[in-house]
Amino acid sequence: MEGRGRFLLVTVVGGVMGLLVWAVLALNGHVFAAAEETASPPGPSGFVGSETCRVCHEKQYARFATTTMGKLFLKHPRNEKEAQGCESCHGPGKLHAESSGESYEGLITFSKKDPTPVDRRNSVCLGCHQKAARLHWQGSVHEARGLACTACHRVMENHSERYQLVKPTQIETCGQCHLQRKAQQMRFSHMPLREGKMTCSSCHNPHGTVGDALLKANSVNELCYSCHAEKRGPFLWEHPPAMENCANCHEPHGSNHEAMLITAKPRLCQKCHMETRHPTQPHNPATRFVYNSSCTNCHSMIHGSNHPSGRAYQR
Amino acid sequence: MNDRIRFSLGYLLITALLLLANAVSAETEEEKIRLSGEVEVGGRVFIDRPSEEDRGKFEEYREVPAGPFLENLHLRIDRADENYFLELRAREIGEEDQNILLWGGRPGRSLFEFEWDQTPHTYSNTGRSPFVETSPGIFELPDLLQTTLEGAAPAARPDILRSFLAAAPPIDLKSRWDTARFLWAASPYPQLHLQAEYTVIYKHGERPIGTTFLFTNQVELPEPIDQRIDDLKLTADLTRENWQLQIGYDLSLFQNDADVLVWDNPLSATDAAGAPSRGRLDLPPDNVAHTLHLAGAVSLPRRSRLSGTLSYSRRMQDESFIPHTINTALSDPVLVLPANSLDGEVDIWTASLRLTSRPIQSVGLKSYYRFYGFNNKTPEWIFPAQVRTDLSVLDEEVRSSSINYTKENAGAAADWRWVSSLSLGVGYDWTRWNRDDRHREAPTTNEHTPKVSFDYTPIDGLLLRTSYSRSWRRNGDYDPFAHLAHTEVDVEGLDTSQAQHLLLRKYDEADRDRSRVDLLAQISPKETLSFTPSVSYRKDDYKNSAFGLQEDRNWAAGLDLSWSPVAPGITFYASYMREVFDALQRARYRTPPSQLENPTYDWVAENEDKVDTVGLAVNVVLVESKVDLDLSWNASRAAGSMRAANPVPPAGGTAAQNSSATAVDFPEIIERLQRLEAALRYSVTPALFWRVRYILEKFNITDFRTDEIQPFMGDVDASAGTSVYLGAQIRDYTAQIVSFAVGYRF
Repeated sequence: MEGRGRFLLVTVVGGVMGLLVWAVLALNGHVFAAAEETASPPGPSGFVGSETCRVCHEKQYARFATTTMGKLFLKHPRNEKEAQGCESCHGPGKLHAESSGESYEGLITFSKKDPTPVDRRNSVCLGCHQKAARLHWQGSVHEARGLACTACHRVMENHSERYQLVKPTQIETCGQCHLQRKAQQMRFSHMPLREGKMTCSSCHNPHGTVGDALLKANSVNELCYSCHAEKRGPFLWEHPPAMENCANCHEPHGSNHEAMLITAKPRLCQKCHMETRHPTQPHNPATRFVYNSSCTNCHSMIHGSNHPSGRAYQR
Repeated sequence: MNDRIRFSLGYLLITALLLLANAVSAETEEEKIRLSGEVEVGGRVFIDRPSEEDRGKFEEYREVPAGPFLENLHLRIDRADENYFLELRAREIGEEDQNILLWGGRPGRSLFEFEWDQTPHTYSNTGRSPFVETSPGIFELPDLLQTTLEGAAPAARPDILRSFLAAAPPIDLKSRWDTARFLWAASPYPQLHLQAEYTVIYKHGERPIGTTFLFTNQVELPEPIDQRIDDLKLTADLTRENWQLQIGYDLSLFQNDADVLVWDNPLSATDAAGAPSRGRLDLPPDNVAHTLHLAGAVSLPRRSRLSGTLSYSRRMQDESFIPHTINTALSDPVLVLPANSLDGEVDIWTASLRLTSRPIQSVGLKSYYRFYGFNNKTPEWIFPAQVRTDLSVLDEEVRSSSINYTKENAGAAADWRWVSSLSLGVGYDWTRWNRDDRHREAPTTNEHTPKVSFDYTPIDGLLLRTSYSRSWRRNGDYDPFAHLAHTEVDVEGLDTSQAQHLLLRKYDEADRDRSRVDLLAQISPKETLSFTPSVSYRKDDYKNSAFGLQEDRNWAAGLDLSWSPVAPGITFYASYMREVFDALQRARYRTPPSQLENPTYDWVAENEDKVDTVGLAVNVVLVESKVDLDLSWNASRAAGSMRAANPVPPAGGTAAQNSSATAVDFPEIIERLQRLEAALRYSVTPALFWRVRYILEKFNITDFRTDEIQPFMGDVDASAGTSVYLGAQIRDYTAQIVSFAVGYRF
């Protein structure tokens, strides 16, 4: 059996098995009734109202009131859920209030020590935010690794200019885990991130996408073309690896090579070009095939040419 | 008065008027409007300022002028009931890199945004060119120079050009992107969200571009940039508790008002076969892309969710072809074009389906499938002949390429939270590329990637994240002649001995084994101390590639530290990252007709990059609520080496051929950047502060490819004696800046 046929078989069998497992688990209400009960919200009798919370949490209340969510929940709720104020997210506070703050039963504190499972905590946020850019949160790499919304967002105060991030900027927020990416902005050849003209979410949607690397577009190239549309074509003479994936040659997070290349020229081009004569020559550094722009001294239309005689990307 | 000061005064006047209006209104309508914000004005002096020529890298994406500045302006108007707001944030006002964002609306109900951004991009400040741009894209030389060079003996030409280029005047090699963005979003009903976003990017300026008349006569020019991108995005979201639907349309228009580049040939004043008086290059054509997309998700029982997307995109390009050549001496009938324009059309279909489920609290399941189809419907035009760099007709029938491909991904994953502190994930991904076998060597590649991850929180304040994946990419068949078939009509009739080497495997299609490991620990023994070490390693082994990329290894190790020993009085930050990229490639020098397969002409190159990035910072509260001191130092050093060697000494050809086959190491390329910043801030009152800041920024670069570059390169490389370059260098710089600013918060 050929590779494709074998794979299709494995996929179909795996898919059917997966669906079966899911169906069994999903339909067996008896087995998981206990889990469901835990997840269901308590009745309205347990709510005490935000003003009660304010008595002890005056500072938090004041800070929250300055946020967009605070203004909505505390002053202009759009629905009954928002009208529950603090308890809309934290859960009913009656037990907590009656125990003078001793009991946290039924409460979600969203702190690092909160025993509430991450997906339960996140489901509180997704209850309102599961739309638009958050449509594909489930199954995203951040969801799969158990990242809490509060790992990146500080809901209770305006710590960043926008989006209520835990750090003043997006780069610092994402840089909590993506240390290498944060360092790459210091590279010689970089997009204007450290100058504040771009940020991580210019290209990525951290809340999940259906494509690779949480990119905001259907492909790497489609994303790059949103600003570099001159390379979109279609061209009369295409450079196949360039039209398939810009990242075949470029490292968009920053590089120590010109034009954010993954390898310095001419070695980058020589990885693939082994016809005859000059592309195959190891070269002396003091030749026109190496210095200045190296290969693109002549083959400057390397992303594609529309010139009838531009087959070698020289026109 | 320059633009910067005019802009700044304008903004200050607006702020003053708003403050005045607010003060007046506060007396009469105290509850109606509330104005808040911050304004920061000051001045900047340079202790050490890079010269104009050395400033290229320093001002690559910004402008740092001396003199007064209005660095930051933030205005916010809230209605007293906080039902509406209007906010303005402006930065680097009046400077080349200014940014203005105005936004407002009704929280949670409607929003509008307008953003204006300017981003300069300086390529080099050392460029010089003897060419004069007489009209956009048309570069001319004095006729006398062309006539003199044309009439001179070849051996005498470099001397003539050298003396002429010595007086080449400086030129700008910088561009600027001006971006205007409008956004409107509203929720007319609680379940319906509408959004429209329109962005215009206007790029203007010049950047270096290489052109050539074959090999010995390269001419580098400042390419005129006069491009505009119009981008419209419309989205509607319908949201219910158990399902969501999103529909959208994107339009992207690219317009290039610089259609062609025409330049004089320094060596010829009149057109002749083999010696054109001018060259012509086609700059990127106008194009348009439409995209329709649909996405939806439905929540199923037991915390399951099914989501899917469907997207259709059409790209079009139909700009008129220019003739094969501008050389009037070449008028062969075979140069008649088969069409007036490309009639380029590409359809792209993307579809995805994903099912996730968490049937029990401790188990999560995911499976997905994704299809990306690039269907190029552009006609494949046959050209009976081509013109080589405006010099001569090449009678070889070639066909343009309309390349198609599809990419499919599928996979499944499960995570199991064994206990609350331990999570184990396993998964499998599959990627398949199907490429057009007329254009690419590997019609089909399949990559299989099993992976595991392990997250562990043994105690409060310690989180360990690890992941490992191993993948195998295999191509069924690899056809090295596809490189020829890509454009040649009569492959059978060609001398294939000069085609791509049969044993070359291109790294994006080659068989590859990949291993990848990532480790991250987040350690917070107490609230005031956090420590995050991180290690990653990746190795790509192209084990079936006799030539081409053989191996690509890289690793990175680093850490972040944040410590507040005297919270909230002192906070230290430190970060360090070491990255090493090491790639090995193999090639063979091939020179026809006799030395096409000489194994002693093999050469192996090792390209290694080592990058160290370090950051240190301390924030000290000297007097609480009064005096703060911030110190920071960030530095990066990158060293790139390209070493090459022949496994055995080249032999068997002529002395010249053996010499050409001899591999040598290239000099190391080193870049260093460091920035030291110290800022003392004094709060006179809670609303008024002043700040004095010192910045030292130092950059050094050693790059053998550009260190010696100048318009005339004949003294460095005898074979470039008739070429003309721009001499565009990136130079070292040292800048020391002292600035003083006063800020007022209201």
